[in-house]
Amino acid sequence: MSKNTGIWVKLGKLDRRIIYWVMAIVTIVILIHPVGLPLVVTQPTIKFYNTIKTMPKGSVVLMEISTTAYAWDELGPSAYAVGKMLLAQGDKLITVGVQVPEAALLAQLVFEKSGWTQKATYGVDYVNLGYIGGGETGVFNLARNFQFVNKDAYNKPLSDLPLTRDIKDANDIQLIIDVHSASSADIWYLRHWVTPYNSKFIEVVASATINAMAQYYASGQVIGYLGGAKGGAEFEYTSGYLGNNIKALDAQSFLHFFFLGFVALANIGLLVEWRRTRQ
Amino acid sequence: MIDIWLVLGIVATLMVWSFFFYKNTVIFRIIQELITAIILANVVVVALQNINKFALTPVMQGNLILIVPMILGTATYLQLSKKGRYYSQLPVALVLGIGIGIAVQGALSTDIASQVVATMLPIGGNIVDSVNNVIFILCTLLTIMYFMFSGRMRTGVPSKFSTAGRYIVLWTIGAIFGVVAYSRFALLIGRLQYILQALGLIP
Repeated sequence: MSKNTGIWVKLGKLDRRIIYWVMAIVTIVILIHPVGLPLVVTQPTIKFYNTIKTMPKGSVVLMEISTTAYAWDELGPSAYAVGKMLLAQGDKLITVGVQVPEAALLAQLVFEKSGWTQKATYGVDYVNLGYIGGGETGVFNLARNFQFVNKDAYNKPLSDLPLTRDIKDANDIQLIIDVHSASSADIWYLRHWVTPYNSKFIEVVASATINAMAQYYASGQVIGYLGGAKGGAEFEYTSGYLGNNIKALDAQSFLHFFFLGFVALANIGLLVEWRRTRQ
Repeated sequence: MIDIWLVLGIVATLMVWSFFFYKNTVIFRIIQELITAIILANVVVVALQNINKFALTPVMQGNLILIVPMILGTATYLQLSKKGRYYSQLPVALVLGIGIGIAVQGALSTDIASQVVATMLPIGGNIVDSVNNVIFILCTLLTIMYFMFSGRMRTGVPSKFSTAGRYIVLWTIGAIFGVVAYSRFALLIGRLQYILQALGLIP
């Protein structure tokens, strides 16, 4: 009995590095040899997809990038797939960042990885506004007077770019897509774009942020969202614009399974130790 | 032809991971300082670009009123002087006042009215939806009770509801922790994909 107890306690106090190694090895094996687990597409993803699909051709889309580079491995592939779909539909894309200074660099990645730099013309089909300071005040100003951003990320005047020169306010933007990890930018857009202008608003969110924005989805203010890499995989599957998310889905499912296993082991170890100290 | 940026990316990733998979070594500290320096450099460059974009260029074009916020912005540096510290509070107060004013303007309908309306869910009709809606409404009410009755009314029937509300808050925090962990897995997978794709092991 005491020998068994000792094993449980040891497992409960397993060196974290062993856990990391096991998880990394499992991920590598599954990435190289995927098993093809089934994928169920959820309602938020369907609504996200339908919102883009039903837009008239040539609609102007504003993509807010309010995530730092650290979360890009989770959000980037989704943003690329969305970018590919917008390009294929013949929509116009403007990127902006109101919270993180690296927004211009991440936007550049979106344009490159989803084919805009090769198949579309800068200034006519897409524009990178870069980072705008001021946080919520910036979002407020952007809705009322788009031209207050007088230059894009590459220092070109907006009045010289055919896509942006005629945009006056939020009424000239047909859809907002917020790509965000742990920021408040979505709430700012809801306050200053969605509520006063009835702008359509969808989100690409990191898994860690789904809980914070779920209330706005439940209330209908956010029409749809892609939740983390799983949401991204669902979107890639639905839209047909395949990318890294769908390739990683099996690995993610297995990692979740292992994580739950380790949590259970740690808790059993804790309980056994707790009982032993009480005795 | 070797892509130098790809190699740098892999090396930097492995240097960061050395902390998790081995221990805190000089390799990890080097990459830690390097990342901090790169981020800081980018912030400084973007901040200077913004000053140029939103202040200097419009002033040069004749929009002289923008000299006022430029002076106010510069006044924040008076914090560094003992005599001028008082005056540095003026721009801070102005920014806070405007920020709060703008936030409150949209918050009433966005964060309060819409959320209250969204909680008024129908009961009846589809049984699954009805059960979901009852759970949703109950959780909302119990959580509100926890925050309202946790201070003064710690006895009697309200305290039972308050305790139930506390458990709901704890479950929610547990769920949030779970998805944060899942989010980190996505980052690990993303980096591993990057390395394996660079090595040609996966498409």
